[in-house]
Amino acid sequence: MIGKVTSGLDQLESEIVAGGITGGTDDGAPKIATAITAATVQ
Amino acid sequence: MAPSRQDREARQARERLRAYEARQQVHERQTTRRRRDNVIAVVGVVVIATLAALTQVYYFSGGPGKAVAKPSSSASATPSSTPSPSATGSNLGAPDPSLAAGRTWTGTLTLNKVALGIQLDGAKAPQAVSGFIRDVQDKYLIGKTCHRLAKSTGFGLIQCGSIDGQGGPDPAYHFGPIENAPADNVYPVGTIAMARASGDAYSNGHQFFIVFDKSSIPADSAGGTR
Repeated sequence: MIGKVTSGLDQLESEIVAGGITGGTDDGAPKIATAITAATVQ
Repeated sequence: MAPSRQDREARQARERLRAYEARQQVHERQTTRRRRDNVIAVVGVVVIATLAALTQVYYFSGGPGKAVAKPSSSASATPSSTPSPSATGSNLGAPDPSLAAGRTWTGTLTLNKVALGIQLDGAKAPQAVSGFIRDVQDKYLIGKTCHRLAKSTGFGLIQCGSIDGQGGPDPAYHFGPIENAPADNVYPVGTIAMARASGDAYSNGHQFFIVFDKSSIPADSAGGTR
């Protein structure tokens, strides 16, 4: 484990996870195509 | 009685024949040997190519793309199909763990339009956090996909960061060891952890996962989990 999410998990669930998984399986590509659009650390 | 000239010539002929036959045998042995060496070499190449292909197939089907075993499947259940345990190994292309400076880092990670606040523990996971920091600093992560979403009872994670967008490994980048794995193999909601290939503690790379449902992931032969 390298760390944790401190905010935004609810939105992750509602906007990406809730879309489901391709093929209706429980492990696969998200139906809502997802990519990292920004990342910062300090 | 002295041997006749005929006898002498006959003996010399026999000796020439023996010498010739001996040379022929040596030649035949050498030819056979060369042929056998060639066959062995070809078989060797085929074996190596097959192993390379199998390794690749393994890496893509069982590699970081499938790095996180589902709770129901324990790694020890299929020891014959996994590579030899590797709790030790070497790094390739990884930054020095001192990049993480042994401290806590804060930041943001945005997936599509979802901005996540993140906190990284550079003291407990110096090597992996250093890798993540560098992937942020050199903008490696921008545009990389989250190719894997897993959600079932007691298990929920999204995995991102592969170089090919499909969960494949970066052949020029891997590191270990496993850092800061939970003793009970349970990953709390919100955990950010490294993905890796089963059975190889030094197969961490760019890929990480975020846990959104408390997830139990069994330790494997490499020891610990993620």
